[in-house]
Amino acid sequence: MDFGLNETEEMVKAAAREFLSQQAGPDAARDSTSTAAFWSQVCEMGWPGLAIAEEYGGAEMGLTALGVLMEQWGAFLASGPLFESAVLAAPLLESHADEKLKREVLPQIADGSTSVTVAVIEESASWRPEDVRATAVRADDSWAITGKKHFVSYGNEADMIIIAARTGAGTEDISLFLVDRDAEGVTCEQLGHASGSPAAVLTLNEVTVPSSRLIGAENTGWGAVEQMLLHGAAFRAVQMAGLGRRVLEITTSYVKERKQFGVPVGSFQAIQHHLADMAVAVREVEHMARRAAWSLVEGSETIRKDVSRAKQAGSSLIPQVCWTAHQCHGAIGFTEEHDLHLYTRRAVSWAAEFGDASWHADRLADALEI
Amino acid sequence: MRFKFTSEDEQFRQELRKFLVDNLPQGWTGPPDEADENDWALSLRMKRALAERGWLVMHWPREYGGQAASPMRNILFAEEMAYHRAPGNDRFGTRMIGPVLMHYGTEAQKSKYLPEIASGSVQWCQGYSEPDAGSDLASLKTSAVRRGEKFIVNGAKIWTTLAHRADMMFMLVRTNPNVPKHRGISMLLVDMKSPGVEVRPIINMSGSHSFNQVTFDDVEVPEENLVGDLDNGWRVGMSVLNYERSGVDYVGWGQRAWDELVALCRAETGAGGRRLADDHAVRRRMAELDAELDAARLLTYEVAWHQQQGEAPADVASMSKLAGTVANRNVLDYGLQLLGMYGPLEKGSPYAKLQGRFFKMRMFYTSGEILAGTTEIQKNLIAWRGLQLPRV
Ligand SMILES: Cc1cc2nc3c(=O)[nH]c(=O)nc-3n(C[C@H](O)[C@H](O)[C@H](O)COP(=O)(O)OP(=O)(O)OC[C@H]3O[C@@H](n4cnc5c(N)ncnc54)[C@H](O)[C@@H]3O)c2cc1C
Repeated sequence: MDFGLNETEEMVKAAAREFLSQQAGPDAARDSTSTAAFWSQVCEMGWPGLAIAEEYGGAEMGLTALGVLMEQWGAFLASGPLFESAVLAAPLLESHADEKLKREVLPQIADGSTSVTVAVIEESASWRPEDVRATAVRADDSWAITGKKHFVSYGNEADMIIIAARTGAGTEDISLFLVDRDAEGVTCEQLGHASGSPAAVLTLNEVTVPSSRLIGAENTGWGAVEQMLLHGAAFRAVQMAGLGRRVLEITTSYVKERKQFGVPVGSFQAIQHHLADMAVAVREVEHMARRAAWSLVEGSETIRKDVSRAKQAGSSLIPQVCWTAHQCHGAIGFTEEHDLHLYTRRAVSWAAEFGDASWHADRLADALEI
Repeated sequence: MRFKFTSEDEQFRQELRKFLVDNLPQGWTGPPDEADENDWALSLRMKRALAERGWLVMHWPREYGGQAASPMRNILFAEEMAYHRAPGNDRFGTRMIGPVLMHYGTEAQKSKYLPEIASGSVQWCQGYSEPDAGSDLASLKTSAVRRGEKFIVNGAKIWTTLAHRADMMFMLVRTNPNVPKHRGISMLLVDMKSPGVEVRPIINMSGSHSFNQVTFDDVEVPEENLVGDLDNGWRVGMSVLNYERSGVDYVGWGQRAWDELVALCRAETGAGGRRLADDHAVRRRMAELDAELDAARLLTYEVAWHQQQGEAPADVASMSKLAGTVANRNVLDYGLQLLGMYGPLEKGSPYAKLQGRFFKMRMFYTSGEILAGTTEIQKNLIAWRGLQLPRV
């Protein structure tokens, strides 16, 4: 057992904290005009390619290092399709795309010239293969995709989208396609989202995709989606851990400063117990989320359990950490001007993404063969 | 023992429901946003309509235009109003300063202010909290200095709900800095149009404008606007908290949200095409929440029952507020869980469910556990006053 970070991971963490504490954070999260400049700096540092193999233009530092980065990314409320490109799309392409497609796209993701998001779920918001209704029909050397995809994060900004579409009659006859966002027939509806992150509904109307953009073999897409879902859930939990730690820091310093009855409110045991609960929850989620990322790297046989435990815990504990933080702040933490709600909005939204607490509890129960 | 409203009370409930259907806009789902001109106009309209029916101050004695309605009837009224998310239930006037004036006010104050409140023609706000005086309210610093026949007020109040709509404020000020903090406080009534009063909006984290910062720069207040004796304001001011500390509104709001969720569970299908309402885990959680609301409701009824007998046990009022706010919060939390990915979609999105209301309500009702004495303070009171545990 080793709960520490290795040298690479320490380096990534220090670099991330240094950069994000200056360039991201609550002020930046409120100011949507600065995101383009911020994103190009992120790309210059090669973060989208952090875990991509060197032969495809990445830094090959591994998924646990990417996890360390995503913890800080969550903690500093950073915006930009890093999660989508680096956590979801790149590993999926690396494991499933053919060599030609990998050589074409991965270096572009790594150097930031192309960002990629993922569109799997539809109106049902479910992660079951039978709920994928979008279809792809083959015509000679290309495919025509028709359907509607919901909750596509950065759907309006990403350059390319990995789309799951039905290509056969069997439940899991699903294939994945890499589609240019400005391809003809793609329309994007931006939705107001309480987290402040952009989410979109994509309508695909006979969008033509060349066969070379089919990812992996026909009808094998669902396995890739399952794998991606594990990444999504594990790394959302990782981000929640980072966010929770930041909220704990903010609240700890507030209760030391704020005085009532002539003493810091942090000297009341009621408040100390709140903070202690928060501290336990954050540490638990940190361990579980990091272990889930590690299991993904190791290909551990407990992957499914580890990921579900982490996301179940993150989804139920981290929003609670935020609500308790509001309680400890009193009225000041109830204002729009105070930053706390920015964290809360993200935590509550993330709790639902890539499977919520009860969905993961059900999966865990299955995996445990209870 | 009798766990039932009287048939007169039940009949009143039916009349009130009909009144609400007739007077609220069709399909009204609230909650009202007091910064919105339309919603504020609705609030004023409702207040006057309630006054016309004699319901706005029905809990007041007849001599002040009330109907001497029982505390039980009154709590039923508040619960029903909250359930319908109906605005116009002017708590600052009818439940706080009105009763205070009846008890502590001069004849002149009573005859001037009480009829205005009863007719629904003035709006009051409560100026207690300050930036450095929240839970420790008695440390408030806004000063009032006697000059001739006037008080000169200087300082700042904060979190003042509805100050941006109010005609009058009842406020606590420091009139004697040289005595222990509870003994140098007085209550004043201040016209919000007085020169030197400035109201600045504070937007809350659910995105609406409900409270404000109010500053006082050499504001002149006539001495006849002192309520009760000079330096006796702590006692005067605390008497309103008996009314403020009830969970009944939260029970009404929580029940409404619960009903909306049940409707959602019946209409929506989860994984496998099964209605959410047929899912065992959902059924169990909804039932638990029903029990939680019910428990909180009984506590609020108990408070009314005590009042009926002229008692006011502070620990039960605290329990009622605590249980009501927590039950309401738990219903909203579960609602967000059931809504899943749809929860955060905002009003105005064509795909939003329940008009994106649950997320906004969850954000808004975070304040329930902070205002009118935080949850921690309520627990302290239950331990100290209810159980006589030693104070630290
Ligand atoms: C939506 C809203 C509307 C409001 N409307 C009004 C209004 O109209 N008029 C008005 O005057 N005020 C109003 N308030 C203010 C409200 O009364 C105060 O927010 C409340 O008294 C708490 O004070 P505070 O916010 O300064 O928190 P603080 O007192 O600073 O509390 C911070 C934290 O410390 C805890 N704490 C403090 N003391 C103790 C203790 N002794 N033991 C244990 N824990 C403790 C608190 O519980 C809280 O968790 C409103 C507040 C809100 C949120």
